[in-house]
Amino acid sequence: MTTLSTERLETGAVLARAAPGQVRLAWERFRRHRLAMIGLVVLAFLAASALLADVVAPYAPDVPNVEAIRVPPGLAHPMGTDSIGRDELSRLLHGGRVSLQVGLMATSVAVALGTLLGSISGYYGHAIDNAIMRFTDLMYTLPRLLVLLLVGAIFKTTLLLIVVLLGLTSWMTVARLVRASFLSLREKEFVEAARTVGAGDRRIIWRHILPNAIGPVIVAGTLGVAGAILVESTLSYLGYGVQPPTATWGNMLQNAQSEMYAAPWLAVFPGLFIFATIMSINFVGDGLRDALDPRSTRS
Amino acid sequence: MSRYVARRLLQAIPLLFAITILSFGLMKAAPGGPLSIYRESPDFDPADVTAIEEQLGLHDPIPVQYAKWIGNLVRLDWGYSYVTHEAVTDRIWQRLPNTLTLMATAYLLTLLIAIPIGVLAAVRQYSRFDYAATTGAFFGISMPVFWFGLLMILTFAVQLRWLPTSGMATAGRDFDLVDRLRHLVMPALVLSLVSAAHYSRYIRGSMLEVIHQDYIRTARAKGMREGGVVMRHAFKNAALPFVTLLALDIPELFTGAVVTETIFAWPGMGRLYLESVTRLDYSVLMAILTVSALLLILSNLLADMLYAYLDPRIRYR
Amino acid sequence: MERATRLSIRAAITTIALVLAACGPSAPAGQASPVGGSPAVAKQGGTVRITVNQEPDTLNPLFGGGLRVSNTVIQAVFNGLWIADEKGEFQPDLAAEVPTIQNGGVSADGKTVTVKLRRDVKWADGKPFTAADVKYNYDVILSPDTTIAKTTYKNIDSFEVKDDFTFVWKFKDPFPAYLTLFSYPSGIIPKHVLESVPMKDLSKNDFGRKPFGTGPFRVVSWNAASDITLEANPTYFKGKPKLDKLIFRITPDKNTQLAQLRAGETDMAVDLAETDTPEIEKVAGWKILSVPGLTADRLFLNLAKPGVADGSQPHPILADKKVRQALELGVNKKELVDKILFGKTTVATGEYPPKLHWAAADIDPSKFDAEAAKKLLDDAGWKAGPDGVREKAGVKLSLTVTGVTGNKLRDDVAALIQAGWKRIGVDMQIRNVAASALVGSWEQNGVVQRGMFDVAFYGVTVGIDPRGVSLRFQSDQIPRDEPGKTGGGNNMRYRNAEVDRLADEADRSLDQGKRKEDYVKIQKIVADDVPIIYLYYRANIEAASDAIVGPRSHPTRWITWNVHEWGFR
Repeated sequence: MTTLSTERLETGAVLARAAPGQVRLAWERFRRHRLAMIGLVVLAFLAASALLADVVAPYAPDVPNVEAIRVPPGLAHPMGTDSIGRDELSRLLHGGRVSLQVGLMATSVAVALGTLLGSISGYYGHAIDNAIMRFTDLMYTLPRLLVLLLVGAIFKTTLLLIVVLLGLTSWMTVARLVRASFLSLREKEFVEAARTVGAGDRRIIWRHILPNAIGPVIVAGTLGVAGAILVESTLSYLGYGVQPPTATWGNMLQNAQSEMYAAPWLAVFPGLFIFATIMSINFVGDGLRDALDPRSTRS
Repeated sequence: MSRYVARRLLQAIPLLFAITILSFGLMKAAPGGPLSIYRESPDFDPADVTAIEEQLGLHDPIPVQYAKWIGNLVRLDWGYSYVTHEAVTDRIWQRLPNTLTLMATAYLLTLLIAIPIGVLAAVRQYSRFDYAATTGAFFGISMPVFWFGLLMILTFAVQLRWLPTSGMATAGRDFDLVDRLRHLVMPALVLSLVSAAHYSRYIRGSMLEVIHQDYIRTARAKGMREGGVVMRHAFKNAALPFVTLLALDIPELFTGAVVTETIFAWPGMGRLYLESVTRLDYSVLMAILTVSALLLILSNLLADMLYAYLDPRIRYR
Repeated sequence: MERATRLSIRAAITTIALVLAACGPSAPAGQASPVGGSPAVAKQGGTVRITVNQEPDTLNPLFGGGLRVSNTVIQAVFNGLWIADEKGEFQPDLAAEVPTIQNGGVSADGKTVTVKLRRDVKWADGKPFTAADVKYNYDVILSPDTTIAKTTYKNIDSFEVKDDFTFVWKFKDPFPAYLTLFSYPSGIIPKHVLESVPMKDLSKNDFGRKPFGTGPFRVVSWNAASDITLEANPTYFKGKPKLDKLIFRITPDKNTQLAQLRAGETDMAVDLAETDTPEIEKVAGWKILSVPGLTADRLFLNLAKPGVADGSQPHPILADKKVRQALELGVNKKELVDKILFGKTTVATGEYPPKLHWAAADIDPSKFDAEAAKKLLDDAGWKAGPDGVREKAGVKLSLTVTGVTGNKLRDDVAALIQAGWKRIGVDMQIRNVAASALVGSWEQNGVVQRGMFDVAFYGVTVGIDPRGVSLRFQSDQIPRDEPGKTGGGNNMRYRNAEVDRLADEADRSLDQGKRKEDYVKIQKIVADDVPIIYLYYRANIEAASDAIVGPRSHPTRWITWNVHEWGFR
């Protein structure tokens, strides 16, 4: 099915000799990817507006106003108000702080941990693979709800705890995806080629196989951010994480559920913000993948 | 391979054992119990609630409770629900066929939708179709299920009156296939569209990777037809992540989908799980956790076996 | 006995007698003047579809956990010896009359109660209902093999069946709440059907899935998590039901319920919240039925310092009555009712809503008065600090309100209270925990039992008998780490000698009139001392299509209380 490609061998050899210019080259390729740049800009914009929410938001996010209950989007309130008159836009901006933090950090933990364990598992095989995969099975079957109930009963639920917990309970899919890629890729010729020129295990994993295995990880990461934001809302529904009346995109969506008829705009805008976030992460991810893989072409 | 499979199956037993111990411990560590709501009712004296809990063995030391549970389990006695007093198997069996129907239909639809879209989007990367598919997928991922489901109900059931709003069948009527199918349409569509949104992203991503590889170019250069190239060579290689996810989703055929079932009032396992967790109905909860753990272990084994089939160079040494 | 006491007892008995005579069996329920219902005549036949948002746990009335939806269905299938009316007073149901001291049903020393049953009652399968059935239920309840609450029934020292329609209870000590026996909210199950089932297997018996009783309907099918179908019982002793069938459909999501309404897939929706009403009122051909019920959301104030096990140290902020009164004045209860509950209920003033028998009807609902609140706080020595939050001797006036998670209504209410208190210089933090953590037992480290809170925000449903009021306010009921004392209901750690005395007196007296006096006095003292800030009563709300005649909301029971009178126009 595969023919030995001298190009591949050469590339492997080139990469085997660590070249610092590679990073700059990758960045150049990334910059040329138009969508990735757009994604980066949007992400930066969302992050900035969340960080500067105190300055940018037109109203205080937690102050009820009984005279302006359930106002549809309009001049005074561009995204409407909720069931006790709080301004949606301000809440979305402030909520972004928590949601982006939770989404990005929790997913980073999950991706990092999953990639680490998956690559080791897939590369070394044998008993290590077995041990790690059975541990993964165990973690999969643990009901996250119960773990959270228990942890919440013992520790004080800070944002950090939520992020760590979410990360620690969502790495398994990434691990399995990475492992699957490694199982396949480690048998390929360029790995053997790299070994013959003297590359050690770590280098092979990190520089050779991983860039090729990164595809599903990026997808998982993107979807993971959305997932983490939405899971955070379930958590606050159960009492963990952010306490009311603090807003997060997730808990705003939760609250919108009972307002679907009376105030449908309350569900649309948080959804749009989440949509914008994951779209931009996705484009950045696409750009990353193209930047890391010298062989991908824009057709 | 058969030795590998046998080894894995044997390992599954102590693993399952460990999982049940962990789950049981977690469950019991959560505050409250199945009789907690009794304490909120004015008709129950707290002393009564405590007495009933004693009677039910809920104040025994936890290892003792676990020993009783596992002792019953090996005799295939799953116990009785603390909430409804029915046999756990009855409680599950009432809903399992409903969940299987819904989830199996949804999975089929998911594959029918996601695979063509994912593959096509990859083959025509950066085309208008790709952008449309990508945007559509992200809408599916970021819009919450309840919103989507309710929108469908409002459109098709309330405004157009083409379909019933909810439920599995019209109450009071005898079994009617058309009636059942009409009730199945919306929940299955909602589930499959959201799921397809996720899957199409993975499929597109994997296909993209594979398409640009050398051997595909070679095959194309050798003159193989587009359809043949794509499907036979590329898809098999691209299928690994896809197979991984498909296997991980198999336990959902048993555990159902909570939000969809709630919105569409579908009498399924998802709602049972949620109710059991909320009410801490220990016996039902343990049954669900144990069976889904078993399913997960088996499906991951299946996935590993499939890897070896799809990529013959993969060997489990 | 002193002459004065004898006279007052006689006066009380006469009053009771007059009251009972006015609403005895000669005026059957249902022919009382309709409240908001139309006097249209209903025709025979038809099936009513009722949407509920939860599934009953079991329909065997002796084994349920008191779920509202279970009770709603059970009420259509079973009867008790007597039932509460819309004022919370007891009327006879299966009994021919409610036994009292005046009519000789209760002995003068209060230790013997004689119950006479109606003679015309049949079970839905045609067999006659007799005293042996009631005795059977008693045996089931007290059997050591059944998991049923027994404390109340253990008061009965002996249960003697005199003949088919008469039996006698003897009590060791007078039991003032004797009317809660075999009435509320349970029902009486048939002996001839179940006596062959071993006690330990009773709860598991299929009867809990497809029961029948003496009531107007019987259950014919229950599709798990989906629907429950009931058929009419033509021999119902209050008259043959007009309807043929009832179908309860379980629809957990509120939005879907509303969609069903709008699509014409249902005829009634029960167990609604005030927040559901605006959308339903927009639907043509539907009406809202509501009445304030027995549940009130309240703020429980911890008068003892949190975390000190025996509650011996006073709370640094809340021990001062002026502060508590100020906090109450700083809550705009009317605004909460109008803006969040859409005006569908009323501000709460005490344990029982004003129209009910046990209520202290003339307690003034506290007016919202921020200025008076500020003045009280100033007087109490709490002066505004630089950030607007009051402080005194280095302590900030900051309170944590602990509520239950997943309750959007309460979250909204809490946010409004937070804003209101901020204006009078009180800083409020919100902390929500799982319900089982909040109201769990002492052994489970329940937050309110252990006193680990400043202010606890949750709802409590009062019982049809006011014994619970004693359990709430007596100082002996403060939960503490002594055997038998961990389950006390006085989580506010409130101590008032006069309240103790009144509660004690009420607990010993079978004179329902005297009990009422005592409980009214207790509620008035509590309204002044403010260990609890009562916010609003939750209404019992149902929605019904205009095609149906008959349903009426009931403050102490569930909507099916008069289901035998319902019919289609």
